[in-house]
Amino acid sequence: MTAPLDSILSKRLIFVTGKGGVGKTTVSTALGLLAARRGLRTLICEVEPKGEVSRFFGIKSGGFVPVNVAENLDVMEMSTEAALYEYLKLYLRLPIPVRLTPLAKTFDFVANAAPGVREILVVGKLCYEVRERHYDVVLADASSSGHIVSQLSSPQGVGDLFPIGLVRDQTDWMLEILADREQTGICLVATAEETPIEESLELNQRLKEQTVVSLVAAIVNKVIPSVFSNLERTTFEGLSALLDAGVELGALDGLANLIEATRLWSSLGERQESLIQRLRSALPKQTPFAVVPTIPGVHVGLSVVTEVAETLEVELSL
Amino acid sequence: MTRSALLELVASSEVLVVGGAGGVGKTTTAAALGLVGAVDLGRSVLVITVDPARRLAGAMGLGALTNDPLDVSIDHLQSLSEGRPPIGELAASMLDMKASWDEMILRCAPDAATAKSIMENPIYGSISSRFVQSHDYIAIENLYELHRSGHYDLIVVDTPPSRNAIDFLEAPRRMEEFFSSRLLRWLTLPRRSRLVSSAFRPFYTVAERVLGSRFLGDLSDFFLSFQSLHGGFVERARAVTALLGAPSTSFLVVTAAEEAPTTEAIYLAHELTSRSLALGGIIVNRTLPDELVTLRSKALGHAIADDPAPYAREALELLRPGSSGSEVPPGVTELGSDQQIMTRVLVEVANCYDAMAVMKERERIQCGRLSTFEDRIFRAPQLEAEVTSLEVLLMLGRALVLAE
Repeated sequence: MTAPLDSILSKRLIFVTGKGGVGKTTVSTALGLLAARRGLRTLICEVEPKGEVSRFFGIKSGGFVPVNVAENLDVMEMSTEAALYEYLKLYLRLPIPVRLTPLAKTFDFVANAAPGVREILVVGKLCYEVRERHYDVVLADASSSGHIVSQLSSPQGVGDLFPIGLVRDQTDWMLEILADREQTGICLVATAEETPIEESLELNQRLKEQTVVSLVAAIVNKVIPSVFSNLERTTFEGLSALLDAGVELGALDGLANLIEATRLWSSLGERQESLIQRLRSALPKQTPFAVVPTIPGVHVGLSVVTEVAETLEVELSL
Repeated sequence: MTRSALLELVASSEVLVVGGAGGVGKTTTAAALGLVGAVDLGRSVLVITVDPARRLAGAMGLGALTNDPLDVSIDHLQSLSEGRPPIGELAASMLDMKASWDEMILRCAPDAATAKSIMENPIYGSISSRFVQSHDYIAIENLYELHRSGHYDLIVVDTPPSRNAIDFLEAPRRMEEFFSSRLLRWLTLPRRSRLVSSAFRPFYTVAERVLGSRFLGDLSDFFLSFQSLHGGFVERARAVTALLGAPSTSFLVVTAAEEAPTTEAIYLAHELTSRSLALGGIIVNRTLPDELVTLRSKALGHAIADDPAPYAREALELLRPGSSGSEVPPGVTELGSDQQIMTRVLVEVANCYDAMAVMKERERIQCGRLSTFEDRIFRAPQLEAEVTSLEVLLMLGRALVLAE
């Protein structure tokens, strides 16, 4: 049987999505590191660029053109305008930029006026990299729950809006890539808090109903591990009671803060357990599922990403 | 107790707009402040939420999407002043974007037939349900309408999650710009004049090849009807902008003590200031108690991690009956008598403390980045439980406005 991580990284196109703030970028980059380490030519694309992935690798300004950041690992930042230019250059063979100036000026409005155009350019660019076999794995640090469904359903939606035209002609091959579960998958990321978990469940449902893309993995990030076994908890309660009783602590002076911190920490951990179970039980049994503990660090940098990658490697090995 | 600047804002503002990155607790903060306004300050408050956590919605008695505010029962809560019943009122609504769009079209259309033709166009369906930026506009527009009704002393509005925290500020201006754009004028020209207008010919050629003539036709029909809303829309967008800039409106930026949301918060705070909008404060959510980290405790934690055995013996000694006088409550002594277990517990406790100390340090660094807004930073404590009741929500709100 193949390990879950192998089955995830056997896909050519992975959309990493989830509620804002759950760590999509960290997880995308961690998966990218793991893929590159296996010798797969890997591209990480920040769909809503904040330059975070580039910064992990010490690059000040990334862009639409992929930048190599490590062996087998490229990074790019999506730009719908650049994607449109590339598309027009490829399919219309238009001299750039002479005849495009009016288009450039008004592009934003067209994209806003015709929802689906922006989305399909994003999905189209990613599918294009897959189709042209520029990379073995394309990891999309995708939009958050709110927008991902409209992005992934755009090739179908375009069918209704554009009965003819170049855009219409282009949707068939995209749909073929997106609908192929061997090639394309969604990786859901959540934290073990109520809203991100509920949103993931809802998102999973909507993706199933409204898109052709299938779920490839679910990752719960920043989890506070449960601290004590039952026996240990009893002992811990004993220590707490000692403090509450105001006993002279001697060498253990200062223990009160430690106990207080542990109490807060474990109360946060406990409410997470049932939420993780709630997500897990709602997903198909065979879906690779990983729990990544929180990494208490002052900054999120490459060291945190590497640590997340190592955890994923272990969690997804069986 | 002196009133904090935040309490003053809740007491005197007519509109509080709560913004910030996703996942930092915007909705909870908005609801908590609204509740304080109603319970402790006796105001009539409306909280407009966009997508509340289910249990928070439950706590406020919100079942489904509703643009019509629902009354939240707060009679069972106690105002801070001794035993006095709360004199204010709390209502909450959970925005239904599609319904809001429909309402707006019906309001602005010159006649029912135009409204109907707009609402039946396939492009309208896309715009109203999928066009994400439209949500920003709708939230603000809805706020304007409810503010104008004059039913509430204070409206707290939670902003929708967007690509960029600034989107909702831009929304009214963008709407206005769109209506006066050349593109819209061109799209609504008859097809033949479009072809002869030489300025647009190259664009049209490209657009037709890419999008298809049928789509351009739909688009043109749609905007032809849509243009009849022009006057109503632009006027409204200006009024909405004016409301955001009114002296009785303040903005609150919520963040968590982490790098990315704090970067977003700083950006948003600067954008607000540069637009001469009133930044009421930055709320740092889920902060840890200050007194938690002391030199003594840190040293103890490190010592335990290095060599736990002596500390485990010490702890067991303290738990032994009679060893530390009579203060040890009965029953406690039987709990921890195993040296091995005690060692593991102490190591775990030291680890937890270390993790907390790192988080506290991260918090300190992120708060330091906000130091230019020093007098306007408010901290909300990390709660031990999720917000499942109005009581917990009120506790959080009070912790926020009464801190300092």
